[in-house]
Amino acid sequence: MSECDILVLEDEAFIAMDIGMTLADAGYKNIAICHTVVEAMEQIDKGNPKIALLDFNLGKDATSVPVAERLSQSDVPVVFLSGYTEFTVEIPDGLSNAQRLAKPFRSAELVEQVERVLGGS
Amino acid sequence: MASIEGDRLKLTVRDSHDAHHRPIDTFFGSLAAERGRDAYCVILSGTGSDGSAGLKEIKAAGGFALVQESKGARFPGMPDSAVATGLVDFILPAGKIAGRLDEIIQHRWRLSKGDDADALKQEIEAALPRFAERLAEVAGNDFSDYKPGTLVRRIERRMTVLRLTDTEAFLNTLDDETEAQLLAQEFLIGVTQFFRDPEAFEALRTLAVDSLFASTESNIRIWVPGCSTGEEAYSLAMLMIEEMEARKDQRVVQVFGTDIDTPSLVAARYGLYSANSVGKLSEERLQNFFQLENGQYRAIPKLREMCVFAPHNLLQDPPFSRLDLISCRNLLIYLSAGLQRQVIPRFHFSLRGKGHLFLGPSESLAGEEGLFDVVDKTHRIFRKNPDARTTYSALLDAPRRPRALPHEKLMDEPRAEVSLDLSREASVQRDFLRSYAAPFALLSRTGDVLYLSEKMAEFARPSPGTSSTMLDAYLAPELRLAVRTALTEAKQTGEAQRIDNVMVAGAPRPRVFDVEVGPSGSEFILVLTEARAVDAADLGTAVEKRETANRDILETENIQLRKQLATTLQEYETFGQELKSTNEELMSMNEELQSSNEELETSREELQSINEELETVNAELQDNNRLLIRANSDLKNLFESTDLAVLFLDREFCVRNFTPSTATLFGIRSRDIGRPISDLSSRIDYPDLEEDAHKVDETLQSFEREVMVKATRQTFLLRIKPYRTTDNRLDGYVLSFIDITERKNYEEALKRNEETLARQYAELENLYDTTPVGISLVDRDLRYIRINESLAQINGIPREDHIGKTFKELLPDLEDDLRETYDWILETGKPVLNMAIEGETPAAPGETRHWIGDFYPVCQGEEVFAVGTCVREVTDQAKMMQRIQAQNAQQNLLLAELQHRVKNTLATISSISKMLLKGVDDPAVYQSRLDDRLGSISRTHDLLTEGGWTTTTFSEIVRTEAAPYQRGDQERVRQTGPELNLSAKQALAFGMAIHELMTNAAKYGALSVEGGHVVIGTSHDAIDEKNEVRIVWKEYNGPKIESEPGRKGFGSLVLERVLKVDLSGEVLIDYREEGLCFQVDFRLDDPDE
Repeated sequence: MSECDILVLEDEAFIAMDIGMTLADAGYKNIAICHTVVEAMEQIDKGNPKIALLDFNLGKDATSVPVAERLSQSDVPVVFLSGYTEFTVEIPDGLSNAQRLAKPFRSAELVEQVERVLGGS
Repeated sequence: MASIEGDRLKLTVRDSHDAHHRPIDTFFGSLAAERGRDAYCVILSGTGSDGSAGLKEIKAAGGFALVQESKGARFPGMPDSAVATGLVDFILPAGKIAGRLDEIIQHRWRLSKGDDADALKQEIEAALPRFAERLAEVAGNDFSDYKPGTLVRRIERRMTVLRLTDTEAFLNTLDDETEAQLLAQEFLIGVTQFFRDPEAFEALRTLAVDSLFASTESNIRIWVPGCSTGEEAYSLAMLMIEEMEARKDQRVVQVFGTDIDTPSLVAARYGLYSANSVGKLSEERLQNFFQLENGQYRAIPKLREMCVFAPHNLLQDPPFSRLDLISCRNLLIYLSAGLQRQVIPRFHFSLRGKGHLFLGPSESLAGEEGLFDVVDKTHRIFRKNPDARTTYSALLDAPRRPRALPHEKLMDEPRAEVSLDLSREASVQRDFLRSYAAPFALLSRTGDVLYLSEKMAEFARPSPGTSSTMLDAYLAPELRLAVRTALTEAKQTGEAQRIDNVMVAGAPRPRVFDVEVGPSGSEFILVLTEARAVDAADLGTAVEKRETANRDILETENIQLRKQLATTLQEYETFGQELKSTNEELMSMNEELQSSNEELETSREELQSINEELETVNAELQDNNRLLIRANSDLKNLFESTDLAVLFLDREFCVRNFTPSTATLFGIRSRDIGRPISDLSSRIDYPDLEEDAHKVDETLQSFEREVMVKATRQTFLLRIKPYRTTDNRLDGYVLSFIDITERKNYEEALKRNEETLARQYAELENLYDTTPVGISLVDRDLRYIRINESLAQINGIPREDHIGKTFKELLPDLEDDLRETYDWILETGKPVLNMAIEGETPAAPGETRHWIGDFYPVCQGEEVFAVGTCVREVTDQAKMMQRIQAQNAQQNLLLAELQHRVKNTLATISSISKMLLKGVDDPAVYQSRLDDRLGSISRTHDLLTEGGWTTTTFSEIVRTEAAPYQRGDQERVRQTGPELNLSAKQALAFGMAIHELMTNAAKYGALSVEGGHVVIGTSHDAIDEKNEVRIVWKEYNGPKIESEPGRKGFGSLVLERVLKVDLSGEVLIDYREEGLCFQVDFRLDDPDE
């Protein structure tokens, strides 16, 4: 897998597929879909994406916070996908710039979010 | 001279120098001393006054005195002198004396024999009040309080004299005034002598006389009450004269001697004393103050002038006043203690300034010691205490009883008739005597012609010369000799004498008479009886005879005349003596007049003194009156102004007075004064009044009780006090009613409040002890003042061990935290509330506990003197709080997880629904497909829920999904291999995968035909840590698969991609000809994770 434009980190297979298909349908290419933090880190090692859509909770007590922190150091915009509301889970202070997208999301919403970040390219 | 000693008469030679020879007095004196009550004296004829003084002594000793009637005595001097003493028991003719003496002695002997004497004494003593009463009526002297001993003795003696043995009889004889006077006289016999107890007089001279002369009064007044015959008064007068001469003092000294015994006073006033009486006086005094008179001694005029004697009853008459000295010796001993107590204040009243009182050796002040100061105890000389209030007032004396009227007055009327008869008789006799009787005349003893009858007148031939009625110069000369002779004989014989044939020359012829002279009383009657029988013939013979006889007679007469001359000479001498004694009598009358004068003077002085007294008393009265008016007015104002109801009752419970407020309690008006209180309507119910009053009488203390007016429910405090008169006598009761209703109400309210308080206090105390809140109080030094059980338990130290200990000593662990708080409160006076405290106490060492404390200041004024603390144990609550916080966190975590899952599930379903939409145009088909998948997910969820969302078994998933395809006994889906526990994520993934496989098999594979079946095998390699499993799906007897299906549908997507991602495993799908074989290898999740 090579360098990607959009990094998707989502442990649920159906949701990851759906995001991939939705973005592909919207015309985006170079989409890297990862299911674990390790996969995501390997992908980032290859090059920073333009945007990262990160599922916050990755199951078995794992979160995508390490990935987000790493990306934010490189000023890569991050969108957290999460079933949690803002009241249930605190996002670490360093990641306050991160966007949030509540699950379940509508496809248009997802695309809109990505477009806003990437400036409609 | 004779005296008696024992039973022997003793003769002594008469002292030739003794001019005053009085053998009888001397003998009587010794007799009185020797025999006392058994002495009897008899005074017979004799000249002078010898015997009278001795008689007095005998009488004083209780003896008896008998005296010859002076009429029959040749020399009446001694009997008369004796009678004049007034002490003589019997005056009798000489012949009867012996008989009477015998009777008296016999009578006394009978009396004294056996028990009669004692019985009589008791009888007399019992009858004493009656004697006193009788004597008070008749004699005017009150003896009721005299000492009984003396009185009984004297009554007894008097009864002996009258030969009576019965007291009643004697009482009856006292109706006779003379007898009563005699008895009174008997009572009053005084024994006194000059300078009795010379030492006492000497003491008086040294101790009292100085101060008498030291006083500035112009005259010195001395009073001798009960002076008797005056010896004491004269003694004092002598003493005063001597002192005055020694001091050259010219002041007037008056000695008032008083007594109720008038005869004694007469004697005192005369001042004549027997040689025996003055025997004890020194020669010098005798010389200076007495002069000899008739063998007795009489006080010189100077002495008598100084003394004034007057009758006066010490007990009944107002006393003398302004005196400097009172000498009352041996009078009080006759008086009872009660009388003595009356007398002493009188003396106090009578004395002026610091006057002295001089009493007898065995007398005292009778309990009135406050009135006098003792000057000389031995000799009973006292000095008036001028500061002491005189308790005597003349006003308090009962008015003197008027003396009983003489009884004779009642006898007047019957006497008139008797005199009528008598006068008739007298006139007949007179007529007879004038007309028919022989000539007669009355002659005196001496021959004086006192009376001539009518016929006798012719025989009166007075001699020329000085006219005289003596028979020798008055009668006819023929009669003179014969009458004289007959008279002389009659006088001598006491019988009538007759001389016959006395011829008296007459006008026609001489007449012959028989001359008879006989006694008539003390005079003599001369009667001439004419001898008718003598005729003329006989006359010559008779004359002759007569002449012879006359010659004889003349001779005889001559001799008689000589004798007569001698007798006359003797009589002349007697007359001379009589003249002398008459002179003396006149002199004594003169003296008597003088003493009467003195008496009058005394009376005048007495009156004056009484007047002065009255003035004083009047002034005193006016003063008292003014004070009384003031007191009355004060009292009236007090009565009217006071709200206090006060009722004054007398001892019979009659109203004496009351204050107006009393009307609220009793229906009482001013006209009810004097009525019994029980007659008045009363609003209070109080039947015990009398009983309570008697209690007051007994205890003399005031008595209190509460009484109630039922109608108004008012309560009064009734206080009963004894009513005391000003002289502190109990005379009724004072009832005061004090309205204490309000006080009572207050008391009750107070009691109620007290009870409430006590209850509340108990409640608080109980609360304090039992409340689970710890409460304590500490002082400024942080020492415990009090603490309750709860706090003691919290502290883990016994309650009593706290008191007085400091906080630091008991709870050092908490000291640091709390010290600051306490200091702040003590400083600012503000409370600190809800302060959390954490620490350890000895109650649970090593355990940290929590409390909430409230600290508040306890102030006294501005200053905070203590700090109160309320502590609540909150250790359990703190722990619970921590637990709740932990639970909350857990819950939040669970909620987050739930949300995560739900949202993820929804997101997954959203994704599935999108994927299912691909290549489906018919909404109904889409609907069916979606329902189908959702049902599968739902079933897996059910299984997961049953397993608590942790694990579920693979076989359960297969059985659930296979259920629609199983047919009765025909097992179309068979499982082999070990059971596998799947995690939720794996279960959900497999749920969908098995559903897709089943659907596919039912549509295209083994389950689409009869006889086709599926075998699902599992294998578990649990040996190593990898925990790898393999699941193999194999279809048998289905339609032959000719090729791999071209289009990959939703099922393959699930089987190839989803399973691979969700299980992180390897998936192998082999479309074999005989049937589909699906194999997946993955690792089981560690169930602990």
